[in-house]
Amino acid sequence: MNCNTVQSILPLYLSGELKGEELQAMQLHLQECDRCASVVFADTELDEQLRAAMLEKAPNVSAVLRRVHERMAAPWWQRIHRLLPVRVAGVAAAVVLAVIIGLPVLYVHQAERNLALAAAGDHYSDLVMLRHTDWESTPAEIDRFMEQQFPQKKSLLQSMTTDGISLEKVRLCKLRGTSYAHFVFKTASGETSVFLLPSAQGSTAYRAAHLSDGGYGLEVSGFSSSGLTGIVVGKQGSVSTVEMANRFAQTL
Amino acid sequence: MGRWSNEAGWTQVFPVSDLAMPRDRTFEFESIALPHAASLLRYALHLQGERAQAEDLLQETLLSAWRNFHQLEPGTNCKAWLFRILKNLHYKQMQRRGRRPEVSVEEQEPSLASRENISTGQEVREAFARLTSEHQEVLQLAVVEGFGIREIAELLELPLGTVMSRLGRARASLRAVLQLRTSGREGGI
Repeated sequence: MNCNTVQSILPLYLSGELKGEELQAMQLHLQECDRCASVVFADTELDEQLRAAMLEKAPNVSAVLRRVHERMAAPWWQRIHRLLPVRVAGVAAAVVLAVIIGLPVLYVHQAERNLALAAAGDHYSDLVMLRHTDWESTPAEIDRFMEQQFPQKKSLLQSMTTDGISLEKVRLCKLRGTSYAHFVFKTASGETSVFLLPSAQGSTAYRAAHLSDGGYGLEVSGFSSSGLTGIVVGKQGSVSTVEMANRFAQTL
Repeated sequence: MGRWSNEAGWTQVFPVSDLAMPRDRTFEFESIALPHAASLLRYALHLQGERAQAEDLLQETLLSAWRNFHQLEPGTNCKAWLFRILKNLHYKQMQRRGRRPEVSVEEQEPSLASRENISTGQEVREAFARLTSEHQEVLQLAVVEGFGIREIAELLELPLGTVMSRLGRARASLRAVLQLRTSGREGGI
């Protein structure tokens, strides 16, 4: 290896990317050539000076990280709102409602399927990001909630809170003027969310769709029955959301 | 890919878009991605110049990374991945503003001098600020952030040889500026 070659591959040597025979040849040359050795020494020292100078004052990123954390913890529809242009976000929110209100839509378009997953972001936000707001969690609070929101469905919770499944909390959510209830059930193997809202459909028939997505680790099942529609969201493998959806539908 | 099925056994495989929520990898994201925020901001400051714009770029980079964190494959250099996102977002911003990213003309290569005198951090930063944008960029990526030549070539979409020669000239330029300042100080300027 001659001095010209050393000069040409010096950046690779300084970055530690020189390997094998080339590295050995370089090291041998540096032992024999004072001029090249002094260049390497000078560049190494220069790099150390520059690195120390630039890292001496780390830029303050706390304000940005705070904003990022706020956005990460935002409810799913706010994330979608920011993710998409405003006019598309309106459509997206409407589509989500359409998914929740009319389950047959689930079978139709790709976008609705994806947004059904996004709807489960509420579950993600609350349970994974540990956002606890406006929840009714004591038995008295839950009873009052059911009385106010589901006066005709008092047997709803009784039928669900069996076989090791208990209701942990519930709250009323609003999405662009439409209210729906978010129940969180606790099972032996994890937590499951159920989203319920009144439906204009008076049908007593029910159907259960089952979405399982290996990439995200969640599964979603939907149902529609007797004026109520809903989605059950749970961690894949730890709970059978389709079983819960069927039980809900039969109870309703 | 996901799978739909109803109780009658009807199934259909479908792709999952990035609109879907991220997996439960928040802790992992906070552990391996967010620690690079300061490095990303340094690079954003280099690209944008203005502090507020650089912070906005950093924020968009981190949120984009979080939304797409599931695409980061195990074993991938997370820091390099984040820098690519930042660089791409900056490029798109420049396109929207109708501007091309700044490309300065390579300055003439200064002669290689012997080892420089010890300079203070402030002197080094001032000397660094006098380099061309291209020289600052490769030095920052290679020396300050510790990227390899191949990673820089991929990030800047340049041939390996171009990065190596540019880095060599950048080091020579920095050395020349520092020497100029040192000789000026010794000469009473």
